[in-house]
Amino acid sequence: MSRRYVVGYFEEDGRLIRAVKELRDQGWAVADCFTPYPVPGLDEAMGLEHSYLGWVAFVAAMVGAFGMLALELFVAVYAWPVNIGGRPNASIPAFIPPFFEAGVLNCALTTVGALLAVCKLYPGREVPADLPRTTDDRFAVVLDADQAPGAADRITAALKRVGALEVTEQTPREAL
Amino acid sequence: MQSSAASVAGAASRPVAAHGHEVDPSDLPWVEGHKTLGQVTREIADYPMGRAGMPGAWWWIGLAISATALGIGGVCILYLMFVGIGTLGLSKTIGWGFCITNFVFWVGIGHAGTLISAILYLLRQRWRTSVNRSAEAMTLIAVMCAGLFPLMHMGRPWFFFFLAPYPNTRGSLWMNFRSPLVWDMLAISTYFTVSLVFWYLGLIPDWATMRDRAHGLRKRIYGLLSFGWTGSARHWKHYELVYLILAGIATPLVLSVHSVVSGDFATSLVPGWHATIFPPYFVAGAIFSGFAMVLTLMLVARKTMHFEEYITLRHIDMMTKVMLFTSMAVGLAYLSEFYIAWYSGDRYEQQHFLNRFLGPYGWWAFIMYGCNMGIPQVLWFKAVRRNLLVVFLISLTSNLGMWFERWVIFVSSLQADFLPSSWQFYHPTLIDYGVMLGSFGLFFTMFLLFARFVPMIAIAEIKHEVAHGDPNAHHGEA
Repeated sequence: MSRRYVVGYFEEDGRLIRAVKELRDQGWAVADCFTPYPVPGLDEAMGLEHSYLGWVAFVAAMVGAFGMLALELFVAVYAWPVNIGGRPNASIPAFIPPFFEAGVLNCALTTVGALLAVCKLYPGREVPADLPRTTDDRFAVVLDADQAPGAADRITAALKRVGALEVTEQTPREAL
Repeated sequence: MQSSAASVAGAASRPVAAHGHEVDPSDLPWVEGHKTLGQVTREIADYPMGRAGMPGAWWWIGLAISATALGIGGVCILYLMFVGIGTLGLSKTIGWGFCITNFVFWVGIGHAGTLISAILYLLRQRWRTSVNRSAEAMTLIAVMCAGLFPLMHMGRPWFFFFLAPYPNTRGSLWMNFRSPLVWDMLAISTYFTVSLVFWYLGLIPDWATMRDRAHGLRKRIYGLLSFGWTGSARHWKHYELVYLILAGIATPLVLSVHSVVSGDFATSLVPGWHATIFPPYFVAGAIFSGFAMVLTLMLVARKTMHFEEYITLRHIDMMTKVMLFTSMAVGLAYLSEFYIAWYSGDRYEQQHFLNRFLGPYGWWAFIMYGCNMGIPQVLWFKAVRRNLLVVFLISLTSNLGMWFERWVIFVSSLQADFLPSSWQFYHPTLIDYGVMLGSFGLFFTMFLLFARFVPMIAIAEIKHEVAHGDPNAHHGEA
């Protein structure tokens, strides 16, 4: 069964933030917000936790860099040692540039891959709901219409009170 | 809210902050014209969506010229591949000629994009937002042009995969990780990949904006390109952090790329190449030439696409200041080279630096030093920085000068080596010129296509700037 949502639209991000704060103060659970650009302070207002992708980036960078160092040592010491003027095979300083580049490369690809995976973004993904102009010039807050008996009407009234330009009810293709 | 009402009234006439003092110019909004968010979407997205009318005659003329150049280059590359690198002007004395000069020239051009999109992002230089998309696109195209040349120079480009470290049937024959040429391959390919990912990440919300305004086939295409982006706050949260991380790792990356490229030369024993100053020297030169190319392109684009309110005179002012600074950094490196050549007491070094000016190729050095060190000094004057024609001409001479810088360093160093009997000239062949022409054709063809089909300015980012960039505006009050 698909869920019903109440959607309130705003024309300024400041108003959206105040609406989100007020609705949460009144005890309503805010499902999500949709904005044309990242609104500063919105994640605190929504009570979202910090993104954990920084750890993914750190681990990916380490894996890339030390993986490359391991490959370099394997090649230079074990698989294809070359004696150049008696210098040591494990010439670590010369291995630093590939170490660095591989760390950066793996970090970038893995972190962006993780972003796409976490947000379930991929080419051909259907947009779950039609929220007009939210990628253009409007800011939408979305709340579950069935979170309490009679919630839809009360949320609609609350949204109008905090200055929403338009409030609609939607049954999106998938849960938001 | 009396003070904010006063500030709004004041903002219309002259920049006065809420407390009545004159506003620091750096606090003024970077986008002019008090735009609404919807206006930003329309003004930027209408071009790639084909709603601003057909591209003008100049676009078609530009495309015709650059595509012809690309075609000539393509024929020359095919000829070069069938016949071999003997068709170039290379000799036993001068093993690195036009191809490597062009390679380093294009890699250098590529540096401005990531500097603008990553380093200036970390430094919170808000003006970058108007130019980061196109500068980054320029980077990607320039690195593609650069990548052509080492590939051609291999002689047998179809064996390029020998550079990859993998267990193979040749022995296994592994690559030498101590070689700067291997570092170079890794640095350039990493740079290209990370820049591409960074650039595309910034494009995803803009494709979504265009998808939601389009119909039919266009909507399907933009839908595919946008990866189903919705602008959910939960997604933005991760997105912003990933954008910051990419900026953070791209910053050392961009500095590493030209350092590694300079290592191709600095680790050799050739007088004129064997200098420890090369990495910072090359990075400064790369940023100088990159900004020159950004200015060349942006001055044309803002005029023809009517982006004067997004790329303002202040943006151009900032970019010319970066050029002035890097020009002086490069100038310092030039002078240090001469000083060290004298101070080293090494007669080969000394002979080389005398030969730069007094040798048969002396006039190249005059172009190099004049265009890179001399001419940019006029940028000290505000009147010059505000005169777009002069800035445009300086951007062209700077690119010329930077091409000659590489040419002087590479060819005049090799031309007169340790053994006078092997001294030789470099005579570029038609194929040399053709491949170079082709790289310029590729560059401008790709850039024109980019300007036609991709939003030139980062829509989502500039909206944030429009909404929050004006300290005199009142957010959500009233």
